[in-house]
Amino acid sequence: MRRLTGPSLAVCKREIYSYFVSPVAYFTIVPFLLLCGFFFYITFNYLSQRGGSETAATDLMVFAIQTMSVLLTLASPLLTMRSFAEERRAGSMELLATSPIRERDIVLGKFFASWFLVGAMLLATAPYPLFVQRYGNPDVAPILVGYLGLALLGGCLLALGLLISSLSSNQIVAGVSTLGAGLFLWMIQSLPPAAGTATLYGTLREIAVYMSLQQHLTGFSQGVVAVKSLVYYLSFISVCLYLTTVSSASFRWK
Amino acid sequence: MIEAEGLTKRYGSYLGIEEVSFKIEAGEAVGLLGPNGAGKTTTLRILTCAMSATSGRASVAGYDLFKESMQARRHIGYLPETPPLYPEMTVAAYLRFAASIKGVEPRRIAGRIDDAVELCGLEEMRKRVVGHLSKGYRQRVGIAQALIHEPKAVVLDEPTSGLDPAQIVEIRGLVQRLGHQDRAVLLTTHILAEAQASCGRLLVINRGRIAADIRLNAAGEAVSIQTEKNAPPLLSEGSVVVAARPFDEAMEARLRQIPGAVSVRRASKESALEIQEEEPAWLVEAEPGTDIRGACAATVVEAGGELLKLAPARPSLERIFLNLTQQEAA
Repeated sequence: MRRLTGPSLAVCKREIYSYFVSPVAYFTIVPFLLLCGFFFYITFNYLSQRGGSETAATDLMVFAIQTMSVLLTLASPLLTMRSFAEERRAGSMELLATSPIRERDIVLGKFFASWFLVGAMLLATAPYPLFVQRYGNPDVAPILVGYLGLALLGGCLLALGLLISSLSSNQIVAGVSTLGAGLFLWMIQSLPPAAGTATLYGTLREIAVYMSLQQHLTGFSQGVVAVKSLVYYLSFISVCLYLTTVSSASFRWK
Repeated sequence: MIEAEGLTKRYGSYLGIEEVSFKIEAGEAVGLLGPNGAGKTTTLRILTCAMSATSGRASVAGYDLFKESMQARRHIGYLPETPPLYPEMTVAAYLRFAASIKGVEPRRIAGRIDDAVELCGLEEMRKRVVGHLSKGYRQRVGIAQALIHEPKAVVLDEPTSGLDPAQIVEIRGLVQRLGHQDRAVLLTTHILAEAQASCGRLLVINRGRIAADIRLNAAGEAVSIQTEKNAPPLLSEGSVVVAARPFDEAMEARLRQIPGAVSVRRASKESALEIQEEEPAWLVEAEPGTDIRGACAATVVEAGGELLKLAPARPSLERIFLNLTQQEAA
């Protein structure tokens, strides 16, 4: 389905190069890891004071994965806000727009570059599950599936961020809007349940909860790959990337 | 190599360019000259696929820009007004990226970078970060990018704007080196001298329309002018301006009798493409290939008059340009 061809691979490599040459990569990865470590420590402390139950190690990782999903929501706008907005402002978009490369390949190149970075961030948190593995006895499946869920959730946030960046030529506006949208998609899972059953609010709430990115992560973090969650994540990414392509191409027709 | 036919671009109700048509052959260097806001950049952006046209058609290297955009883009090198650079990259990394997205085969990329770096005088700058370069060097990197894939059409938007005089000379020299027998070069400028220095042909654009198509000789003088409306023919070579006292009918009649003088008329201030003289003077048009200067001087002196001025009559390009662009605005 998605394949990085020559030109989009070039775009992808260039984006990764820029992430690491400009300090964006470090400014994103370092705080992310520091905060992950901090929350991991707090949770670990809390669970160990409560007394080691049978499931403590598993609980710790479930909680860590949930926490990382929120931290990803905060970090991902930093990776995507520049992508289109800054290129448009600086004029480098003209190079891409006049080169024999399809809009779709530009978008895919940028998306996979940012996803690569999120992958690197998640990989850098590997010491936590290894640590838990060393001193406890957690279930392995939920950890692996949980990380898969995190990667997919990260992909959704990045695709959304790219879409928002493609609509603006101001990276700050793009970044803040992406953050807002990401937080919104996290919060809507917490809508209070309806009193009755078949009310309009109840239906809307159900839709809203289904829309929440974090809500789908719950299943993954328990080691369950639900088809509806997988479908939701993948279609969320596809739709956002498709719209980004349309939005990026529309600048030509103005 | 570059063909435009009836290109029109509307921005809402505002007309960007209207019915722009021209044809540029391989080997030509053409300057698109016009005042600010005349539609130069709009024309270039359409010709490079950065923007669509409202109507009309255009092609580069035989590929329709709107129907075969991908093939056409392989043959276009474009330097926008702001060079499209990534300030955080090194020159070499940037050119490598440009080459790969422009479809240069991977095994040829290194060689192409060497060529472009050499042509643009960037040898010392290969490892430097683009954002740290001076404006002149950034412009060179922008030009190197436009050449990296050996395009058949090179399009440069205001290649020397914002540079200091020394840099302008360097970039001009570089632009002159771009000319190639199977390459067409199109550049925009609002500075006439620049177009004269680099181009063999000028397209004057004014208020979104091509007002004139002027061919220049090696010295940068106009040898033929085609305007939208049928233009007055250029003065033939050897024509002179004569100012003398007394400035009367009798003297004019004498000048008319000079062998080789095709016509004598009073230089007017109104004429679009002709000489404008401050003091009263005659414009004596010579039969091509004849030298009437001596005869003019003798005629005036023999009639007992004073010869005040005897000068070759060649309308300056500047005058032509100003007339073409100001008349319409008035």
